[in-house]
Amino acid sequence: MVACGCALLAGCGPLDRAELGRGVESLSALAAEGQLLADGVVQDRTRSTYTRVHAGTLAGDAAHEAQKLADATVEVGADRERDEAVAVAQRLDDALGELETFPSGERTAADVHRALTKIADDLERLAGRIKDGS
Amino acid sequence: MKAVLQIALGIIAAIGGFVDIGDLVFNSQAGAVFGYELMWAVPIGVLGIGLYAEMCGRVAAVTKRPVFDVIRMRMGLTTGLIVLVASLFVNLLTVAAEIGGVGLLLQLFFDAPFTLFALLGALALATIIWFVPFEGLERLFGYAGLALFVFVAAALYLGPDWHSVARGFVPEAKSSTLYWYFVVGLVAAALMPYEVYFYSSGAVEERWGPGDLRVNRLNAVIGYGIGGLLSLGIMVSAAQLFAPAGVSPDHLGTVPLLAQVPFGETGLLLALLGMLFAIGGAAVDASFAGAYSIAQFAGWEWGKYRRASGAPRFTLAWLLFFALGLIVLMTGIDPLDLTEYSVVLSVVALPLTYLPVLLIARDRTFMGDHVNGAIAGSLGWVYFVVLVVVAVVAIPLLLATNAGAG
Amino acid sequence: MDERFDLVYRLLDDQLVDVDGRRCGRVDDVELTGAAGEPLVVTGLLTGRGAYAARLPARWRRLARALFGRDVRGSTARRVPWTEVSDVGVTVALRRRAADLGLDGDDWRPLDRVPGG
Repeated sequence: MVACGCALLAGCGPLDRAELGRGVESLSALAAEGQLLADGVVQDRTRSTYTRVHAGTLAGDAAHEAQKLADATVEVGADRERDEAVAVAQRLDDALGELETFPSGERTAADVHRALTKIADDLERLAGRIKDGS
Repeated sequence: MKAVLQIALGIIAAIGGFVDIGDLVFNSQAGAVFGYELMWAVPIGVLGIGLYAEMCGRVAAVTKRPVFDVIRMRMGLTTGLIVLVASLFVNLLTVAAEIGGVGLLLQLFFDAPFTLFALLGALALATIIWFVPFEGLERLFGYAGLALFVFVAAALYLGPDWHSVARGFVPEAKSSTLYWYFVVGLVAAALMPYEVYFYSSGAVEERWGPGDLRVNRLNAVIGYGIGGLLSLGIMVSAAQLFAPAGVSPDHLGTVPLLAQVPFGETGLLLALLGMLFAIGGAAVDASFAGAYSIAQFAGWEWGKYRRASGAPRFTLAWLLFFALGLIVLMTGIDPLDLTEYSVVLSVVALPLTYLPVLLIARDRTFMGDHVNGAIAGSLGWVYFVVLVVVAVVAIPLLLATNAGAG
Repeated sequence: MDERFDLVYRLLDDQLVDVDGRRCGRVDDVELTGAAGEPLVVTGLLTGRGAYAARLPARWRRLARALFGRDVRGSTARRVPWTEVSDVGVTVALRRRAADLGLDGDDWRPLDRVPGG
């Protein structure tokens, strides 16, 4: 589940590296799912209503994660990683939002797929840095 | 021929009720997170529900008593009342979760606000129940639910590593609480009490007698066995598609991808359709189960075969269940969270409803020659112990893993 | 019915069925009559939620009365004379129709006019 118990409560304690790592993991999962969704459109093997609704749901998750990370107070030394995670989450939200707006465009879907691949790579690198920094 | 048709009824009822939103959620998540490692938990759940349903069906056929009749009669007023209240509470959560699932699926088909579709879905289901007789209901939801076989097809098509699959059937003692939470969830999702209330009441609705005992046994074995196959299909395809990609099925809408990726638009449609009818059928079964429970406990006239005017309180009861389910959804709670709670809390209440049935099934005064044989008898007690253990660890695990959030 | 049977096991909490086969409540309590030193005779059955409170543990009685109502004969609880019972088997069979015995509280006429169902 993407939402944690205190998702809506700001200031529920400082976000430690482990939790930041989990947030990044959630974003990776979203990116991976987005890629599957985009693939379907690229290959014209899916329904546009489904793509639109589901991409919208995933975009909402990304936006929610971005807010959650932005609101949290982070432990010392993890500020840069947190800020980067928020930035990536926003890119994820944008990419999935593109898919939601253009659920049947094969060209757009191909662009989205490329964007998601880059996002996934960035998240992997970020996850590594979060782990190493602790 | 009649026997073949009645077997079909069982299969259909099983598929309509066995694979519901709880099974879809837990099996897809288990596959995505743990790959094949949790496959062994599914047969345990399937064997449990098969055993329980066979006993309930046998008791209903021989004594003409469905589950809550047995509970009130065997456990008395006080215990019966406790079991009733617990069952109704859990049933309500289940109805809400299933209606929520219907709303989510309709949204994936037609892209309109969720609340609207939850309402429309509930109204549509209530209308269908009102006008369609019992057997028709079973067949409608059951046949359409067979579309879920697309997941089994997907699992096979994606070419699993059969060696890992085989290993998955051997339980491993792991130290991860999340692992054991999923074990509980998978077993609990297979053993939802509303299914047996519905099944045993259905046996009385269908006027079963001792001559139907063979059909009852076949229903239990084949019907729930097929349900187990569907669950495994979902888990295996999730293990192949979601696990390596790191996809986390946190939404109902993620599950159809398991069929869309291998089979394209056709697969997607079959998945969506199958899920819609399986979950819709479960909503019907669960609200009826609630109505059966109250009516049977209180001694009111009940049954779809009595028509609405013949069983007014029963009719009002299931309508009320739908309404209350909608109200629970309107609080804004996520249907998938609701699903996890309803599944876990159901298993906590399960031993209370299981024990009276087991006691009656082995009581010659009521069953005559149809008492539990050696197998049903010993397995029956083994499962009681299993259920008590699962019931005890369920809530701690739910809290420790934050409902599977890890 | 059997010549001897366990009142609690076989009679109490059993389903009442009238002469037409309609379910019409449960045996929510059993009425025994007799004086001290004399044999107790089963003289009737009580059915209805008004009979619940008396059977629940003392600690819950007040809550039960609030939820299920007090024992108001003819309204929340009805008495069925033992003479009206024709058989005690899987269910407790009654000699007459539920309406004649005052056990038709279940009937709710408005639903009669709704088509389908």
